[in-house]
Amino acid sequence: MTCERLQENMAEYLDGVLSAEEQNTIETHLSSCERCRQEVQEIKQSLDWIKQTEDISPPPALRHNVLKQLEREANRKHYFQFPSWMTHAAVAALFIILLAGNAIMPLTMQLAADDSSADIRLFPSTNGAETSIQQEYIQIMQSDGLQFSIASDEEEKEEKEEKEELIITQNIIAIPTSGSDESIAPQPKMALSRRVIFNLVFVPPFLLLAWLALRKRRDGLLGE
Amino acid sequence: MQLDEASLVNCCREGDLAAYDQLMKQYEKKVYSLCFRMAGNHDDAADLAQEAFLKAFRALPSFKGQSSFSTWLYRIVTNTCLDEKRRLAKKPPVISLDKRLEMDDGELALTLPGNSPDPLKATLDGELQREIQALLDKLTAEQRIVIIMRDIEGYSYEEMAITLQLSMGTLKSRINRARSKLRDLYLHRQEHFRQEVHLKNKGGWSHDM
Repeated sequence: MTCERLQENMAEYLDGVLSAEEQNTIETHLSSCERCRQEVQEIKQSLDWIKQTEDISPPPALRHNVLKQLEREANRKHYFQFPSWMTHAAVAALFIILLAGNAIMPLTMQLAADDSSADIRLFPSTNGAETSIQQEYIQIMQSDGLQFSIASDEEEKEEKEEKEELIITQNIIAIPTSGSDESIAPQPKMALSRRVIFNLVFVPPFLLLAWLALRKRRDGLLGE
Repeated sequence: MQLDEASLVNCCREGDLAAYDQLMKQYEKKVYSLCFRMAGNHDDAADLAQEAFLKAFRALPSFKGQSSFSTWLYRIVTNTCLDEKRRLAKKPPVISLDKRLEMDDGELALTLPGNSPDPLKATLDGELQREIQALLDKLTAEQRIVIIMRDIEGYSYEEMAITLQLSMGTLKSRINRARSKLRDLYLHRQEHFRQEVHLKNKGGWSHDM
């Protein structure tokens, strides 16, 4: 037994949780080592001194205050708190909306902007150039649809594709057919501002809900 | 009818405040004395205990019963106390009376005579009780909590390891270090409680204020 070994086992020795054999080894060392003996003595003395603390009683209002606060929270909870799966679902839905919105926005908004300045015909004209543009739109729209299918699961994918088709048909109807090429020139400014508005509307609730979900998760982890 | 702890916990999880009142009744003494020994005064201790009980109730739905309810609760209490100490430690200190100021010709120790009412005097009766608490306050929060739990409140090693989330080895060496710091403070406590301003330099002269 060395002095270092004693240092390592000091806590257990003083608390009497060592085996009889270990206890004996330490006592043998102590009988031969003046320095360690003194240290043990001093620590024992200071612990005995500190153990003279009197019991502390909690203030009578403690439980009452906690319950009052919890009652207030319970009333508020009634209106503002949802089960955590709902929060998570809402975050996911908003995320998909944001993703989808930002992907579609430039195209559909350009078209919508064109509506005002162009005739709307039910059938696309036979003009070769325009047909090719139309096909381009359809191709782009379809590729967009493909993007979504990566981001969402099977069920949602079907739903999305249906919507996509709807948009495409509407677009075909809305394709302007009259006038020169300038009339179908995109108006990026318009598209941009709509996109900005869209993001302004959807980003804050998304961030808020994501924050709520994270906070719930953190509170939940506290108890594990 | 008296419910057992597990049923009480279940009731609380469903928002039963009366059940939580019963649970708190069972633990408030241990929780409060831990908070009091950490904070050093009743005002802060009441805040800490209240916050810990609130946190525990809010976190109850996620308590799955892997550990006993008591250790789970004590973990929230000790975390609350240690977080508070860390938060305070980040704030710039107003004036530290304990810290010795380095001077050209030695050290200047500032121990002002108690003209203003000592917050401890208002909270603890008896010279000895105040002295013990003042000594505890001189330990770091990490050292203090192991001394309080082990040597004042009598928690077992296992309970402490789970509560403080330490391995047994780390816990033991923390206890050892905290105890030898406590011994140093205890042996020199006369110095710490001397109520005078003195200059300590090579000449070793001092005067009362």
